[in-house]
Amino acid sequence: MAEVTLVFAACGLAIYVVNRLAPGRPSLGLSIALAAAVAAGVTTWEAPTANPPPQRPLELRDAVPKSETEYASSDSCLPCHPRQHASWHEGFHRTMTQVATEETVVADFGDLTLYFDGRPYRLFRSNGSFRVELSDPDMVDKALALAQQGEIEQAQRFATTIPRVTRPIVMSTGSHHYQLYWYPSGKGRELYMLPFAYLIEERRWVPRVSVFLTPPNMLEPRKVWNRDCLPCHATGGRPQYEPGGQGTPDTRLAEIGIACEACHGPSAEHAALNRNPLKRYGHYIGGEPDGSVTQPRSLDPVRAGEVCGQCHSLNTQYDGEDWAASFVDGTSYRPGDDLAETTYVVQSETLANSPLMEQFVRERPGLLDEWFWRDGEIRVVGREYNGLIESPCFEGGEFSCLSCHSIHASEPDDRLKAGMRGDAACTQCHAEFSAAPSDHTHHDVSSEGSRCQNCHLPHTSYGLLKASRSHRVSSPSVAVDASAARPTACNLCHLDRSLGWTAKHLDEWYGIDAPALDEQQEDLAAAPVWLLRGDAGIRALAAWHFGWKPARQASGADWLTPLLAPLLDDPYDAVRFIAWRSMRRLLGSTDVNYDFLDSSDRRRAAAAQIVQAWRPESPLLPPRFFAKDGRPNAPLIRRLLAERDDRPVHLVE
Amino acid sequence: MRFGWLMLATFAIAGITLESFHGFKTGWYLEDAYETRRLLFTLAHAHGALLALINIVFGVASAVLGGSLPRLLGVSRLLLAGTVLLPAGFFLGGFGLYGTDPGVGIYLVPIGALCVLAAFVVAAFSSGSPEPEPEPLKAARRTRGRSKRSKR
Repeated sequence: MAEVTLVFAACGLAIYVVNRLAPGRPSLGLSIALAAAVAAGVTTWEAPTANPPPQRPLELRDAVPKSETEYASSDSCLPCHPRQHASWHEGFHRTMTQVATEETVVADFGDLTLYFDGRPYRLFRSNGSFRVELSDPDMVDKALALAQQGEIEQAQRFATTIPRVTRPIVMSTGSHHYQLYWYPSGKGRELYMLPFAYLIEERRWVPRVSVFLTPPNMLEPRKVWNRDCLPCHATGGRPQYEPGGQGTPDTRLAEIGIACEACHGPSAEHAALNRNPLKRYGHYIGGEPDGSVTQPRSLDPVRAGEVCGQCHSLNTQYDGEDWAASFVDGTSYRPGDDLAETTYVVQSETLANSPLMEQFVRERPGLLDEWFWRDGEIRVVGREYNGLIESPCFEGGEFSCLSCHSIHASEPDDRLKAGMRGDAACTQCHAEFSAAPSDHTHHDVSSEGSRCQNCHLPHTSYGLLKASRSHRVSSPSVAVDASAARPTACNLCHLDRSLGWTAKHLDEWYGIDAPALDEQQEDLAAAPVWLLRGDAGIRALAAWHFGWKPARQASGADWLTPLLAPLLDDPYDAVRFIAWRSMRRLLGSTDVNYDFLDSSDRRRAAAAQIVQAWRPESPLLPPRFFAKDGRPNAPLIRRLLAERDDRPVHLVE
Repeated sequence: MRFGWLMLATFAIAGITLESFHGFKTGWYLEDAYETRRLLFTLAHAHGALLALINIVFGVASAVLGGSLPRLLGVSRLLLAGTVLLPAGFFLGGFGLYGTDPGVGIYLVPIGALCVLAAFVVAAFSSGSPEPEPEPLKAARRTRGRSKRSKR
């Protein structure tokens, strides 16, 4: 509108000037020249930057963008890149972090009281905002610290004096599987996490610790958004704590959520330059790339992968100094940079590169088990870049995240490019297998066993209450997987087959030497063993595969029920949740009343009810797990449960 | 006048063509990716039809109201140029799109727009004005102007 007004003003001025110069005898040439000059000036004039767009993070507390000169926000991208903006807008990156509003909050805040660690949290709405009434969180932390120091009586006395406070819910994390909520700690711009998660599909509140694979009764440190989430769940964030994460933070960020500039880099300069149409067309016609912004697609595959890897990796700083500084200014990595210059991507064999990570591991010897299988393969979701760089395909220098994924040319779920959910993801490079896949797979071409990803990217990563595909391209090997204590891909589909059976076929088909196996590995179906005897991480994966359709098709489904039932009373909340979800798939409709957060007695009763009602429909049951009359081999199941690996497992997604 | 009517006929055909794109659900015109093209073709049609009408109105007005012949001729030429260049720029800009930016043909638009603008400005000062003054009167007016300025 301003531009139109200017054009009209320019015309009026031109006419006025002509009239003044030659009343009654306007000069045609002068009129045209003036009009042309003024119109050209208006066209090439660069409008000042628009006001900061709405939805700035923490705007309720007068936040300003990280740097007025560096970031422009996604609103600035919209006028020139509407399609890209739309594809980003419909995805889950944008909604990873949102200001809590009626539109963004999915949970029930209808005046209810939830309990965590024995303390009530009253959730309610007031004047259009969401609120929580809780015991003063900092005083609760103080009481816990006293208890941990052994000052039990003092802690108990102190706990009775903790006042109730009411805080607004100002922000949410997640919008796909579950949503978490944040309230101000009262110290600067610091935000604490509400200790509950809202499961979106199930439409229910659960304790936050229940949605992660966390040992029962483990005390987790309080989650602080500015420290734990800001680097990857916001764009251009600066925590602004004191070095090392102390003090009262004055956190700033460019945009809430994972926005355009998280992947394309700060673009205020790009937006300013390209407001001028002459400059834009100069680039179009000259064919020269606009160097004022990073285009991941135009980067070499290694650099392109690093754009995703800045967040989708397990990473830290190289030394304590950098680490302390990261609490002040955040990361200095910008898309297109060499990630290794600023960020250490954790790999078990390169720990020596990071004295900081070495120190962490020295202080907590089991630390790497929270993320890695024993052979160094990443085992949690959200860290896919670690898998990518350890893949043989990556060594060729052409393989990157963008080989299969695209933020803009894809569906929001998984962000896979068209066709990449199937074999094309692999055959785009390994074309030799596309003509006669069965020659390679030894499975029918229409079978799930002929799908590249089921063997080479099996569901051996855990996160978001489910098994997810590994992102390290690998081939099944009983020996390698056994040494890594990781389930073998073949047996995650062929739930009724033993490791001996798998090793024999891998040897026959691919010449992979069969390792020496004990009698149990030779004879017993491997998946039920993982299910009943594995550690919590393996039990979660096995329980998920018991509900996985291709596995049920390959192995027969009806025998799975009595073996899965014991996991309905597993010590880990997340394992029970996954087991029940698979059980529902096996049972179809059921009148069994089960809740994974019920008391152990009720859970056991529900499991017993399911087993009691179960009748085998097929005579094809895995031997040794079932008697000839079809009844489950209860002594074997009890023995495996007794041998269960109960070492604490804490997987950090 | 004839040009105006011909252009009106041309842009009526263009309008029918655009309607038929909608009718036949033509992908390269209707898909989201081609929103810019759709906008530009619509602008070409609208500007062409409007300018054709202006040509006709100008023809009628100058015949009825008269005015300085050289000036009217200039206005007519500028209008003719604008009526061709402006819609042609929009139309050609619909090809060879650069993302949401039009193709380079769009650069005809400001040229055409300036022609139309100039035509309007000149027409404003030409329409209804008498025939050119005889030279002696012109000289006398110049002298009067100079003496006024020197008094100031």
